[in-house]
Amino acid sequence: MVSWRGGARRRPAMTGGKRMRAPALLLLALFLDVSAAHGAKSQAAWNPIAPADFKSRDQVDDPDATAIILADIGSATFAGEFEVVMERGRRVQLLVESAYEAWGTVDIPFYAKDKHQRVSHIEGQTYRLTSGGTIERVQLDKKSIFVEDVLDGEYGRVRFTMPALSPGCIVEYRYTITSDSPAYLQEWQFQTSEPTLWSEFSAEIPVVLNYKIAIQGITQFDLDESAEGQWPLGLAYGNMAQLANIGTTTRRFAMRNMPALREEPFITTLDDYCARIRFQLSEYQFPGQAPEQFLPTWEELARNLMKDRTMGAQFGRKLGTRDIEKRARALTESVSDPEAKLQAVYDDVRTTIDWDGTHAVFADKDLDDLLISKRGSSAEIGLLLTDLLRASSIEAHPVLVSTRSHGSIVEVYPILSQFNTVMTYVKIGNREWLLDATDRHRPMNLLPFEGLNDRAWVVDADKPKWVKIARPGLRQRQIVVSAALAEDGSITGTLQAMNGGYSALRERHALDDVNGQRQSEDYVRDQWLKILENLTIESFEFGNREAPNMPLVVNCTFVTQPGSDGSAGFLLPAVWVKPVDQNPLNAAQRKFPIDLGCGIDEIYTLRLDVPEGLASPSLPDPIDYDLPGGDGGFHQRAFQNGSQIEVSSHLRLQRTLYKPDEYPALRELFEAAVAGHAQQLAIARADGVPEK
Amino acid sequence: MTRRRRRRLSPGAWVGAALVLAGATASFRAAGAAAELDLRADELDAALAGESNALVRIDSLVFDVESPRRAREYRMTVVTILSVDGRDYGAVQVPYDRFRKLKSFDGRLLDAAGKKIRDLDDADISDFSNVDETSLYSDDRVRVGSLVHASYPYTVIYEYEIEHDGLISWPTWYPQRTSLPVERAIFVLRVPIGTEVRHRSLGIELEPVERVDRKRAETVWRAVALPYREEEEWGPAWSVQAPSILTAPAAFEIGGRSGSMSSWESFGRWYQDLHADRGTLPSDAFARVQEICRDAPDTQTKVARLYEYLQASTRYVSVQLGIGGWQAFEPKVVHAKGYGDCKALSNYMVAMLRAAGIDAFQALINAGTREQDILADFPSNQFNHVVVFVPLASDTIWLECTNSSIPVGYVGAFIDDRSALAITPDGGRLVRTPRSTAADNARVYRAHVRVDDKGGASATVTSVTTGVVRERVREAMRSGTAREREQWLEREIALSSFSISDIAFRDLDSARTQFQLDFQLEAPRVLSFSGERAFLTPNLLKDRSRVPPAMSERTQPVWLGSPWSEVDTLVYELPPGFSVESSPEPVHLETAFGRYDASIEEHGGNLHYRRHLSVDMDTIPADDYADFRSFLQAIAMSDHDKVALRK
Repeated sequence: MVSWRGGARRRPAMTGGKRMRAPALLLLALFLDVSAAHGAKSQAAWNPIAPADFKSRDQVDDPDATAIILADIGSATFAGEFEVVMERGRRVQLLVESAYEAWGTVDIPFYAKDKHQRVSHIEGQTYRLTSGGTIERVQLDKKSIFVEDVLDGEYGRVRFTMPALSPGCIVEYRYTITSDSPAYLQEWQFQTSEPTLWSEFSAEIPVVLNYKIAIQGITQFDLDESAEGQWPLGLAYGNMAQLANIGTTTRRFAMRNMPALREEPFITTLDDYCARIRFQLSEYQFPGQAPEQFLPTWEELARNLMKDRTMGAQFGRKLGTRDIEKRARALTESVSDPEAKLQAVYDDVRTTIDWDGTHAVFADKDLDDLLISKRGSSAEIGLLLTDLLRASSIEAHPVLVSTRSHGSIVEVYPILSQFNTVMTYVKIGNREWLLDATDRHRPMNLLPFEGLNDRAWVVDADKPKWVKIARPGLRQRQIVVSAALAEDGSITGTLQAMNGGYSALRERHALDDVNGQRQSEDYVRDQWLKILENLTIESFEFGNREAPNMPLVVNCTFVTQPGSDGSAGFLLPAVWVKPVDQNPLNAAQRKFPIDLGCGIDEIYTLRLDVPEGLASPSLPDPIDYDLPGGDGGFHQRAFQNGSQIEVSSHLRLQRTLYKPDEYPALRELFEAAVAGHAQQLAIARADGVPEK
Repeated sequence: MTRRRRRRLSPGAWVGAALVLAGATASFRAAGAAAELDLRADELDAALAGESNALVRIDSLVFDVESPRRAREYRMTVVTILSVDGRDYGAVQVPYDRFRKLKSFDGRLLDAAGKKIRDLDDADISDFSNVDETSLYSDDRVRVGSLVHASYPYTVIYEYEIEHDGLISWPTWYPQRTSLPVERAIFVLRVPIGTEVRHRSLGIELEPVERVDRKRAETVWRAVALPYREEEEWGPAWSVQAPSILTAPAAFEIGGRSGSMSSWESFGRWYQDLHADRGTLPSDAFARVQEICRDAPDTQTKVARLYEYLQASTRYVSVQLGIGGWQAFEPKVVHAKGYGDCKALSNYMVAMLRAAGIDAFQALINAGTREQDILADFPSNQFNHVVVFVPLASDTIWLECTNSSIPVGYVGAFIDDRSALAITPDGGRLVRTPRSTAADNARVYRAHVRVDDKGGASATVTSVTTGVVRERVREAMRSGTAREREQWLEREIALSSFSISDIAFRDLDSARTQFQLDFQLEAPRVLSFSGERAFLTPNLLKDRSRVPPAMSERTQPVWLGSPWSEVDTLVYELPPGFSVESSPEPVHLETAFGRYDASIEEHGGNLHYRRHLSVDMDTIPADDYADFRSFLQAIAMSDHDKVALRK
């Protein structure tokens, strides 16, 4: 008898594994070991190495390449009790020494718990082209292959390094990874961080197994074949045995000349941009039996989740006796307005329950216990919030979300490992909210930045649905510096910085690590007034540290020491506080969409009083840059009004998602901001010239 | 998953600690562990706790030596967590490996009143592989326990026992392991009567108490009320400067190999014996050595050729298993695989040199740019690295065998100016590595900068580096792709917006002591405009304005790594129609730390900027901090100086 556990991919305990709750597949069959006869599967054909293989550089137009994947070939077949046997081979040319670490040393992570996966048949060699044009081969020594228990006997890693590396050498290795369930047949990525000349994956799948296939980033394969075959399978029903030939279909996919996939700013996760094919076991049918669903429908999934001990079954249990109900009553009894109730419950969870830093989809703890331990995962906090709201007669449902680094969702796969966190969906009248109370510094209308992915799935037993994750939050800041320049060049001034949205969140978290007078003063100096030299902070205060609905305010007064001589005048930066001094979009070109996550709205103002007899003979030029379409812009102005000079600038980006062809304009916008903020303010004596 | 064995410490194990901690009460013995101690968390010494988020109540180490090979180590740490930000201090990490078995690991969580809430549970424990980033594989593991509670303050107690089977060192005890304040710390070193005990205190005055009973002799140190340690910028790492008590055995045994550490000579002999049968090259390698050295005019040339061969044919890969942490792979293994760790590569290099008839030795050293030198008069295991020492009649050559991009004999900041233990057939002998000067570690920029009337610039730049500076630059240029090289240079040159192209370098050959790099730089903005005026910061290529903060009481020295110098000559071609309105006066600074000169002059419509900085010291004493800071501040002022131009 076999039971299959699904979803165990990279980190099974977090994404699924024991939690997967896909209906356990209980086969009434016992498989005889006849797979050996079938087992002589075709090794992915390896061409012999030729001197021409050492010239892979000529085939790739990528000056950044440190290595080139000549061939990356994987094949999956089934053996034994529907074990997935995956053979993988790679041949890589290492162009420079900096590739040794990433491509000369090989890590094969596997899920070691209960021997769900095992790695075998490792072999490898390094080839070097000698100056005489011959090819030298050095074999990987089996004794230098290490198996490491990475964590608690559950996560293992096979690790080896290729021998005799030199720039230009080719390394080649193969291994087999055998998994104990068809659910482990999951994914092939056709791209790596380096260019790939040939990437191929084939899977011989018995017709009794039905996989849903999802393809990302590929419109047409360079090779897409399928072939029929036979797989002898021994079946036993009760005490009857029978040998049957089961048909198989082999699908073979390949891509040629795939470009490298490399990290860029403002993306979710590279996995979302990678050309890949994914397999998900959805159904199986054995000879003479009815088909069995392996994957539920979204509706079934929602119903099951709402009955599950780790999610919906926690809600409303032991009616009338629960601490959660008492708590809800205490919080909302005297409040009649539903939105005020919502706020009260959100604030209670936000301020009293501590997030343990882990994302999860299922609650390990009983929600009543969470009220005592006051610490839990994102799932526990999301479910607690849902339950408290329900107990306060507000319509609330758990919502499953995939964080930005966890990647996007494939809707054809009703599987839970696609999600990694729980939020709360609330509906009052026609108004809807998505809530996440895992951070005591975050107001109700602001989701965690990591949560700003595309869609979320509302777990409603009657009518599950997808909702778009709105992104109303901004990086918001308004900075005003009012200062007076003295004859001797010293400056006396005040700073007021009002931070909203994600900027406020950032500063509140920064302030959590700031203790005592000295660290607070260092924080003000380093974070806010770094540009001014010889600065003394005379007083400072932080406003609304614990009131996340209000802007986080930093107020301070400061003086600077007299500057050097100053007989001719003074030269000062036009923006003193947190100028945009680097363009975050460094690369000249961009292949991926730009996902900022949140909009930007930052206003900088400097008001400077200059003494009698000093003036700015020439003010910085105005700057106006608007994005085509008006979704954002940068504007800067300088005025002189009597003895006061004022410089103000405004950086604004409303939309959060941009297409790659909008990249140049976006890059130019940041460039305009960098240029504006780099301007100088010259303040001269009547006939003098400013000097620093 | 295998079940972890869970066993309580026998109360007896704690007697040593108990005597000190609880004032030798009989009740303590009976109760075991810390039950009788007052571990209330709500009535702490407020002055000691200060603004800290956590307070170490007790940190106790009992090291019970049974023989040169075996010892038992008992640890107890008790920490009170005062606020949510101190929560991470409630975790403990216990490294172990083949020679150190973790026999027990227990913990408890106490509430503010000192009452037990619960015991450490399997769910609070993780067991990780502890292979560090630079290693391919090792048998190091770490067990991590973490207890948290939702209301503050609370107290965590951890007790664990480690059985040592194979000893090469006795503990170095740090009464204050982190920056947290410590109420009480104790170290008990217990040995069989008659065993020689050597110890040394560093950075702290503690008089040990000695005690002898029927079978055991004890040496006990204790420290109380150690205040919070503020980090000081540019100071040494806490791990380097923390006060400590070093202890060392005379006789030791590890992996079945016994030795004596009572002198450097005897310790060196032990290491020599470990490698006695590991000095022979396989025959094809031997033949290769002869071929490489054929026609070499002198010994220096042979050393250089063999070293370059080593650099070209091997790389550094670390594998540490059991006694393999001390005993190098055989030369034939390095020869076949083309890799090894520091001792394997050094041993292989020594074997090659000897095959060429050159006397050479492995040398143990405490490597690192920010490491203290070893205590030369306290023979003990104070090393973390192995290099090769080649004594020649005229000169001594040091060979760092894990770096394939340095010239032969180059002594970088990683191993310079310190004592190394040369492993000779007569045993160990301390030898000093040379120290570098500011002139040895130079970076010279020459640039011609054409400025256009939009404020952009196009510059032709030549950079020449030597010594430790060369090491950095050359390494970056050598190993990466064209794009990686550009990116590296772009980080190195801190302009806000610019691009680099046409990078060319020469002297890449690892045998050259200097490295030249030529490149083209396009910057859209070197002038900042203010109406009719424009300003130019002539110190274009690097913002060196970082000045550490003013401190009224500096207690730690400033560590600079190495002395160094910077020489810049930049010529600016101004756009037509622009003239110089004013420019800064020349600056000349001469201090005990070094000197700085900067000047700007106009010659035939061009501006010539010259800058020369030379810092002669690698460590600035704490007392000189304010003066050193003024020096840096004056440099920063001058580096930011601007020239005013007018259309």
